[in-house]
Amino acid sequence: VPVIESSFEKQPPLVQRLKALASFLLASFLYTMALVLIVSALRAQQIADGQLTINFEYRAF
Amino acid sequence: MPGLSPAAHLGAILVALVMVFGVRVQDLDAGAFLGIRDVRGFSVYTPVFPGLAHIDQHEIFSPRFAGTKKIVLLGGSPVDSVGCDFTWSRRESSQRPNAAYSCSIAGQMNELLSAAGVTNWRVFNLARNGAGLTPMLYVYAQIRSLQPEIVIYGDDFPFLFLDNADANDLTAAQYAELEEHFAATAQTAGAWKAYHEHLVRRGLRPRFTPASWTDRPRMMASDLIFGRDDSASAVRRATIGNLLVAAFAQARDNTRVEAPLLPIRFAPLRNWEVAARAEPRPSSDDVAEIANPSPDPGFAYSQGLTLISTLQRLHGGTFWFTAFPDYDRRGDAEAAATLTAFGEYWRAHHVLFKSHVDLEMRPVYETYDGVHHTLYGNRIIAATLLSDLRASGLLEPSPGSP
Repeated sequence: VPVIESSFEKQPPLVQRLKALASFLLASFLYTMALVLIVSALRAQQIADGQLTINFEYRAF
Repeated sequence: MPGLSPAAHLGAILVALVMVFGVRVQDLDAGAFLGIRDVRGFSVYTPVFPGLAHIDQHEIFSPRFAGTKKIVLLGGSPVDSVGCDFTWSRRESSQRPNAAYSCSIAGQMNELLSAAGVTNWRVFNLARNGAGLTPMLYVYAQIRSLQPEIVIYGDDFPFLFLDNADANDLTAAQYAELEEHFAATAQTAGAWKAYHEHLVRRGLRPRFTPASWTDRPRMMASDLIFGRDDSASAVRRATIGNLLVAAFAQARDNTRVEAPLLPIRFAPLRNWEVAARAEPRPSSDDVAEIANPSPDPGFAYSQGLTLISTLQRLHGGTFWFTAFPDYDRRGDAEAAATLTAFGEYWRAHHVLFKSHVDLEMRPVYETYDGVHHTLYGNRIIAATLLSDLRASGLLEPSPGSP
């Protein structure tokens, strides 16, 4: 039975490591951006809520 | 990322957490990199009262409205009017009040202007729940440099004079600012001196720490992420986080629904006559003050109104005082006579005066306690105020509009 090897496995170990590192860095970057987007959206919502909240906290009529 | 193992994904997530919460990449200044010098355009402005210490965060300061003709609303809660229904005034309720800028009189006026094709005018809501005349003088002093064409002070008269015109709500530093604006101008120096001396005689003790209602809103979870920073909504640096927050705010403002998020709630089972009188307004001290025998003996507090009218005239603007609808005082001859006397005095000092105390409002549906109004009542007041301005020839249509 012939063994089919992927091109990835055929690559030299250094290239494989570099590709794995690049994938890891890309994943880290994307996760970071996603997290920054989430906290920014939370902050924008907080500011919007705060803008109205200050009107709820009234002293008296 | 095909081929990345679950462990590597977990590692990448850990790196992201470190970058955001440790290194704080969102706080890196991207201004120089992106060539952004003027960051004012990225500030998050608010259409509702931002607190006395943060007036600069109000949308009236947004570069977006730099060339727009301005109508500024000043006053207390009936003018602030961001409450869409009675839930706004129910203190005992833990339920979130139904409130939205679009319900307010300013929001409704802007909708009416927009519907009429008027694009070169905008109404700005700078009224504040519970505010009397003195804090509103401070607000006016802050926006004076913008030279608003029209300022309307709305009031459930004589609320603006109660509690010594809320003189003790300002700090000593804020009084120093008022001095700069009013005492330093020759035309207002005399009136300011008379007004200030009257406040002192009636017990002015300026606070050295801001009153709680002038503070920023309470800390929230995202403060832990971004830090507690007063300049957070007024962008000082073009950080990645600030730019994204501004982008989200911009997107939100441009898709603003011109209706409340929650349905308007009425209280059909409420006993209107009892409810309207159950809320002690004004307090017993205030009643004594009103009955003494005029709400403003010698027109001393009224000097505060003449300060605004004088400064408005200096740049060619106008100033209105409008008595707001009051269900309990409709047809009250004594109250009407008092208002007429004040109206004559104010008109003599270039304050355009209009009384809408008798404006018909349906209980429950349009006014929920006699002086505060639902979205539907606010809509009627908005149309009435615009009608006043049009009748006076103050509100010319934009060029090319029908």
